[in-house]
Amino acid sequence: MEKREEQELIQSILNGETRAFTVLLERFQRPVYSMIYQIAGNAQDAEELTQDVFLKAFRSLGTFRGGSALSTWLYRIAWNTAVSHTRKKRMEYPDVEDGLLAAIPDDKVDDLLDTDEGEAKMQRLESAVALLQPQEKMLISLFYNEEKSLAEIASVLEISVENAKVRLHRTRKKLVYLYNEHAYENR
Amino acid sequence: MKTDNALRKTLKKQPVGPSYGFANNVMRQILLESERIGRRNYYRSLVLVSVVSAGLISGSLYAMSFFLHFSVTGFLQRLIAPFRQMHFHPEGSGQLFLLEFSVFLAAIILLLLALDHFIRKRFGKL
Repeated sequence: MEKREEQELIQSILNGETRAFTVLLERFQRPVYSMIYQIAGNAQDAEELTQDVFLKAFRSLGTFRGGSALSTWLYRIAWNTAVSHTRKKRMEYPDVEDGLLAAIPDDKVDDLLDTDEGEAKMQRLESAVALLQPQEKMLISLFYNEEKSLAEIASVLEISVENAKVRLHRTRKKLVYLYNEHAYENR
Repeated sequence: MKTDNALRKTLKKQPVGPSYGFANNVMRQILLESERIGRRNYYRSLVLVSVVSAGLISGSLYAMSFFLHFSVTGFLQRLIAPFRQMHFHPEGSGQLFLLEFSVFLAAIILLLLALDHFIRKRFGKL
């Protein structure tokens, strides 16, 4: 959806054509749900939270100034909603020391995350993803699933672009660590 | 950084979207919310117009009584005097007073209409 189309759509919703919100809903329900699912970890919570995200978006549509893409704005609402859910549920995630991650060579990370070697590896990798912290899950979901740029990811997570780059690098290494050390414990 | 195909594939394995009928449920909630917002805006504008009107009338009365030596009680007595007499006098001071009073009411109405126009223009659709 182009920026001009987005603005026209938003304007028509704000002018009282509430049903035009369906376009927004149809366009973004899948990516928003997918992102929230990564963080919430189950379909029921993900669906409730996705509904909350769209209601919040509708209520605050008038505050969207078009400084960023509509998707970035919507993903920021999704991120804030999901992270407040994890706080309420007091969800805990394993913490990994930076020293351990620094010891993992980059080529090992590339090998593990790039090579598709069958179902067993994929399941183990899935378990490792589930052990990541919410921000790390959001980061890889935006980067790999939604193919967002680091600048857009930084805007969603309200961090600097440099910070987003560092965190992505760290998350890839952490996945390798969790894959080797923790992934089976969580299954 | 390579393409990270294995990681991409793992992430794509997650459920792709919410259950069937999700969009309809959300739209129902959105339409209800829209009605709520409409009602809230209507009552807000009603309260705003009432408060501003009351303020303008009070301000006018204050200005008239202090600067034009206008007495509200005297004004009310003069207002009901013709009805007390139960007579209709087409000529004389009573008719002049009613003319003044009509001009006063018309001025307030014009002022309120202008204010309403200004508020709609300033704050958009209320």
